[in-house]
Amino acid sequence: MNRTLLFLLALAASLLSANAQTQAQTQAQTQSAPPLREAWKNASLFLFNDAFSQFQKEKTTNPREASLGEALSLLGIQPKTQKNLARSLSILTALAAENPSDEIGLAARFHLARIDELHRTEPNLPAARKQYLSLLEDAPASPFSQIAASRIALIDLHLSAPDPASLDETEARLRPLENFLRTPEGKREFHTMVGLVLNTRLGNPTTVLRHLLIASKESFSQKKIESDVLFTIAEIADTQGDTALAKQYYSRFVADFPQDIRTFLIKKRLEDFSAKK
Amino acid sequence: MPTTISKKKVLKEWKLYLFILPSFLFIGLFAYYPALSAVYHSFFSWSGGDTKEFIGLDNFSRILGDTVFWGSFATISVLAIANVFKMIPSIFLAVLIHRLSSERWQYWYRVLVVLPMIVPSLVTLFIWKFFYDPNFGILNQFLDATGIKTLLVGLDHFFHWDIFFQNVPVAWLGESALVIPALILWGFPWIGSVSVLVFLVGLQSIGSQIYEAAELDGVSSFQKFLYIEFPLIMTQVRVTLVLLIIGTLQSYGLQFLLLGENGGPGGRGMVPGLWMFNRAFIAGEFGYACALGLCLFVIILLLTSLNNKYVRVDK
Amino acid sequence: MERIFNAIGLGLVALAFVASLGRVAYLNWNKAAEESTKYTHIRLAHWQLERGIRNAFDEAAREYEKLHPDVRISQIAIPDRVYTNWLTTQLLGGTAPDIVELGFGSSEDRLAKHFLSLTSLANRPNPYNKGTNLENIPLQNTFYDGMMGGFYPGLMEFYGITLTTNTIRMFVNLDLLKEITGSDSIPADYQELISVCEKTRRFAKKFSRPIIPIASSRYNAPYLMNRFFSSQTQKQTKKIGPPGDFPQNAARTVEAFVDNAWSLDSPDVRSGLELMRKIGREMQPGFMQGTRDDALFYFIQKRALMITTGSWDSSNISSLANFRYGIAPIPTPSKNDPEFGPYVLGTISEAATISGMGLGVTASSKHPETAKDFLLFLASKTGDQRFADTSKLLPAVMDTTPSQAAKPFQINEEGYPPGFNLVASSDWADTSRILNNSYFKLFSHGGNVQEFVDTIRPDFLTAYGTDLARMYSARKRASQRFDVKLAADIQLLSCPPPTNSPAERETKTREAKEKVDLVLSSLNGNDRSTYYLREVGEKLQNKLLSSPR
Repeated sequence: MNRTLLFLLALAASLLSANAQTQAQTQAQTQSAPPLREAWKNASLFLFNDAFSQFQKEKTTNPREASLGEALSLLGIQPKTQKNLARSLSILTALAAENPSDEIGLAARFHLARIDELHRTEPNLPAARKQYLSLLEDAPASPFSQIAASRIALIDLHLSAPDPASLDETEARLRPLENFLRTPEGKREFHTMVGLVLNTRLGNPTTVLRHLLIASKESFSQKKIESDVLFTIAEIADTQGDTALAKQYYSRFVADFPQDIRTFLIKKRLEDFSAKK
Repeated sequence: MPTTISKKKVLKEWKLYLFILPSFLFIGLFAYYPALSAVYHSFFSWSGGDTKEFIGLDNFSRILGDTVFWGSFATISVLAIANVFKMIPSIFLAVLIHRLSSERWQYWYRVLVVLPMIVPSLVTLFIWKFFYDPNFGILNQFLDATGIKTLLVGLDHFFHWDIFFQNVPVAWLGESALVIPALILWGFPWIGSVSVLVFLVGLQSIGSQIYEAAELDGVSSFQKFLYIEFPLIMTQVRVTLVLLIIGTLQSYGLQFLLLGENGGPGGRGMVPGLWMFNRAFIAGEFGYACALGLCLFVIILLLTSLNNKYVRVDK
Repeated sequence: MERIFNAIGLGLVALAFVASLGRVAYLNWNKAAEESTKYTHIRLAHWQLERGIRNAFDEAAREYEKLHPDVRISQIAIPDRVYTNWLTTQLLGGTAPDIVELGFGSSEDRLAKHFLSLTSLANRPNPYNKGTNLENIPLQNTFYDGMMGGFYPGLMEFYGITLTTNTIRMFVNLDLLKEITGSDSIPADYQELISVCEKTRRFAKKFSRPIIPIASSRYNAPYLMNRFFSSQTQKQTKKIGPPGDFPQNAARTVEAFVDNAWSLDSPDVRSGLELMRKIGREMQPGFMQGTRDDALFYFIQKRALMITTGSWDSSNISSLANFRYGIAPIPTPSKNDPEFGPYVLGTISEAATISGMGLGVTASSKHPETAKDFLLFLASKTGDQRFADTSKLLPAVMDTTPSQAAKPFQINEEGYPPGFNLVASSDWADTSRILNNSYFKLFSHGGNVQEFVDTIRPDFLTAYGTDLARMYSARKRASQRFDVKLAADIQLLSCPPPTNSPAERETKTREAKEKVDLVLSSLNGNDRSTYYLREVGEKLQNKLLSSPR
């Protein structure tokens, strides 16, 4: 009996020591990294509760960045509640008011627009658009402004979608935004957005072609989107009788996406072109 | 008469309460926590994963216009009524066993009734599914061998059912008109082990002097059942009825296994429980499914209280 | 007597307790001994109980151990029925093996918490491909499908490295075929298939044998039915969408339906339904109520001449069938088919097939780098070739050769995209339900296409609307999560991970930038779909409000 007790005690002790060891290891790992890095890493992995408490702890050392993290984690924490949304909104508003032009302020302004666009139960698209535009005009070089340009395009085209006749007009209104595009990613995203959204809404093919051709000059991180862009360009060019352009983009597609479900169809089309010669 | 215990004594023996603590913990963890979690989630738009959004009473207002949910009560009502009739063979068998003069034989019959309980219900379901198989199921073979199939084909010609055809196996679970009959037929001859035992307990509590008095009055065997046995096992019948109604309303395993998650042809096998399952695991609307479950709970509670109030037993 | 029984019972309980205690102690002792040795131990868990697959893992492990003498790899095969529970316990208890097969029990929430992201591995060339034609190609691009089977769109990360590919094929009982037709030749086209089916029915009737041409179930039928139906809508799909929208986006199909670009009365849709009915009539009555096991049972018991299923069932069939069988692609109608040819563009391509058997590395692994390295070894050209040769499964890495047994399952890339289906996938829960509940009108003896269409017509548009709304909501939630991820990844750019090597820092910074770009692109792509779903949904609701019911 006593032996059993001793065995159980030894077992419990070893378990406790193993646990303590693991805890110590975790602590050491956390301490060796910059304080907010772990919190952002957790936010990136969608572990919003962990990130939230980490941001809250670090508010004294780096208040602005930690507050931004806190506000964004609140947007992700589940369940999603109006209370969390209001709290996040108030933190972001304070951050934007405190300094609207530093990195944190710009991020806060971008997310204030995102809240209006996406996080509210009923979106307020005009309000979101206004904030994106002001961000773009104030600081076009910020990565958030570069994203904002494509957001404005999406909102405007979406609002025009019920009246397809107004799509051309909307597209013309979006053109001045091109002057604000500074980075290759910004350009790619804006023109891909306008081109693909217009194409889906059966907009003017020539306009679609213009945007997608500009986008296709940049490199794509999403291969699926790149393949869609190349295929759409080639198909529009083919429909418009621009065989040279169609051939160029069909060939690029076949070379870049040999395993795509459309490759065989395109190869057949290229054979047709050769046969017509 | 209950004895009263002083508060002091209750507190003095506090250690004894530790013995019931594990049971409370387990009941709390495995019975009340899931139920309370379902109540909580019924107020959310939740697809079962990490993300959920509080939507107040939206799920409940959606239930009001859910035609499939309310329509499923028609099916369940038919099945519940059929289940009430399906109690009769159990009562009948219990009476037969009770009337056996040899106690030894009574014992062996009770054993025979209990034995099928060992077979897992899933196995029974699979066996029945096999019975209904159009190509090599026993039911179709029986209909063909006995000539009933020809009779059914004849009736079909006459009534224009468009279900039974010569040389075409009957798809018991593949025709909307046959779904309910197949569900009712399931479990034939409808002898429930637990029900038989419950009724037997009731019958055994009837004093022998009542039978002796009845025999002196020259009461026939059937009259004995009608005026003595049946009224005196009404308590058991009532309990079984309550459990049966609750069970029928809650259950969907049979429908799911025989017909799939959509309730089979024409959705005729769709019952409230299956719809709840469908919304949760097929449509991924776990929050709405929780609300459906809660609604079902209220309905069952209401029916049970109605049953307790109105189905009275006068002893 | 009762005392003796009680003593025996108590003794048995005590014995069982001591035995389990001993077993646990033994296992822990072994584990401790294992850990104290000079070797790095890697444990790999999966649910593939087939001998071929286990041998393939063993062989790979021994080969790897030859290259790395300080490493020992062991595999744990857990039956799929208990795999979810087992994995959950292991993950929550922090005792999960280093490498785990993903699928059962590895939801996105769990992947984020308990597994390591393999995105950086996916973006770099596989060192084990050195000296091959895949040497300088990023890992994901060395796979037929871009390793999409290991990519989790909800998390925007790779968490798995895949090893095999699965395709859908028709399995034919050759002994029975010979008995029925006098020949071993498997139907190569649609007309031959129908002819063999007719011969089977006549044979069954003549000899009073309960044999049906095609065994099916609600699990197997969609593979076949979708393939046949979409062969009929190929030409129409290309016409109704804008340029470039082929294969068609599901929301576009719905919009085209709302816009009356196609309807349930369109000739191609009717033709697709007729084709489905013809095939459905060759299956056992009431097959839509049957399960996967029911269909397999019919085939294995020689009560069906054919079955259509995935290559994953191949090992089951091979171990259970006591007859010769052949495997062939599904013979959809060709362009020259007199009845169903006019709507066909060509054979349907299988190029969009996604690879499977993804293996992930757990966050609790004590040797994550070795575990990742072993995965790279498995996913190399030679590694996957070796694995495929032994397991008899179809490889997932490019330029590998399938084994003789896996050849019939080889992906057919020479084909065209499929046309639209009435329901794009099982995610369309309500549309699927409406169709499934009404299929008996299409497939039963007394049913026909018109009756089926009349049955689904009243609820069809409403069901599309409900499904669209659900999809919109799911997309919106995904974007809300990506928002925070994007901001976090941008912030992480400014605080790179601590490292002393400048080259490593450069690589990590580049990867972090690529990650931001990937998330940004995905967020915009997801939002494009979200807005479009909303537009189509609104259009559909307007139509519903304006149309009398």
